[in-house]
Amino acid sequence: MELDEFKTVLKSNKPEDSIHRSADELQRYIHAKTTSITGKIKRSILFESAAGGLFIAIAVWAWFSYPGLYVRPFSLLAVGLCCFFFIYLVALYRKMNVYAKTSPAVKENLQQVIDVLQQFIKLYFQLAILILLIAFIFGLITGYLRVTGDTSIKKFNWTKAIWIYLGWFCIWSLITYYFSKWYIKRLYGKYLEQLKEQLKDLENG
Amino acid sequence: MYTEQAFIQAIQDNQKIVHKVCNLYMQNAQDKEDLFQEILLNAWKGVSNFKGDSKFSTWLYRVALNTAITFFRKDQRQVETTELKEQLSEIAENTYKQEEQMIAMHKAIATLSKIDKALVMLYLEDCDYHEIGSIMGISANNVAVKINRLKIKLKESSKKYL
Repeated sequence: MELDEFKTVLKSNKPEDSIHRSADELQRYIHAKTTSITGKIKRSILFESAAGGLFIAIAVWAWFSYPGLYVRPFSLLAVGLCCFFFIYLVALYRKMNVYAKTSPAVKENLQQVIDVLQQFIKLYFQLAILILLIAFIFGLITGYLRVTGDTSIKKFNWTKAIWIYLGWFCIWSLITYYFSKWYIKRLYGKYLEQLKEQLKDLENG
Repeated sequence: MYTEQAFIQAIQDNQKIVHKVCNLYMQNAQDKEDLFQEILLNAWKGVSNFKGDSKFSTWLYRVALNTAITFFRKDQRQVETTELKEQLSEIAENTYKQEEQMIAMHKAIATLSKIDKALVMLYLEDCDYHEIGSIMGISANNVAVKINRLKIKLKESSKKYL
């Protein structure tokens, strides 16, 4: 059977629509909570922004409550990091809101969703790597302060200690890197691949 | 500018479109319900930017297809075009052979990708190539090429179900 023949038969036998939603039902639908992936990302961004705000508050409180050298650099780093990601998250959230209000063609819409997802995934990786670097520096500072501040330590092998620290740090970095990669792929990887496949499908021909 | 009341009225007049898209992409009743809700939510969010430069139905097709194509279910089942099936069941006076062919075509459509399903649906809805192109974001020539390929593909693949 040809598609045109199928179309003709369908048109000549078109039944009346059996389902018809009432105005009340439709009204309920437009005030419901979204279940889409972009909706979930938006909720996730809001949650992360709130968590960032909480970290800033704790860091500021720690800065004033514990004036020692151990806490202040950490507070400063936490505030800086949270502010940086807060700006990034707000920009992404605003972009998603702008996208949500437009009704582009299917191809453009696919590109927009792919763009948002890729940015979100990139953000997670940047955050994981940045935390690693900060932890590395912070570990070095606190380790140095602990050894030099302890009068009971007479002789300390710095070369050996640095090599052990580097070794542990490399293992930890690898675990963090692969875990983040696996986790993000598990969350959005399959979906992103499907979207890219659909875009390719549309662009071909 | 659409008020909530005007929007709901416009949806009521065109809800057939939303049902068709839901039936085309989802098999399970709950999934259909979720997709229906998601399409309406997206339409409501975007209606303030609808300037009336195209028909409301064209705009709604675009929103509905955008939502359906990017809609994701972790436990995706094989989708089936149930609406077509329902229509087929009502073709009482048709010959058995034609009915068989219709079912085979319906099965062949169900195996298509999300993008191809959208193209076939718009084609079956009598949209011209320019309209399909504006909804899909591709040129009318590209639509013509794709539809021709789909016709050949469906003709061949429907034979497998006979």
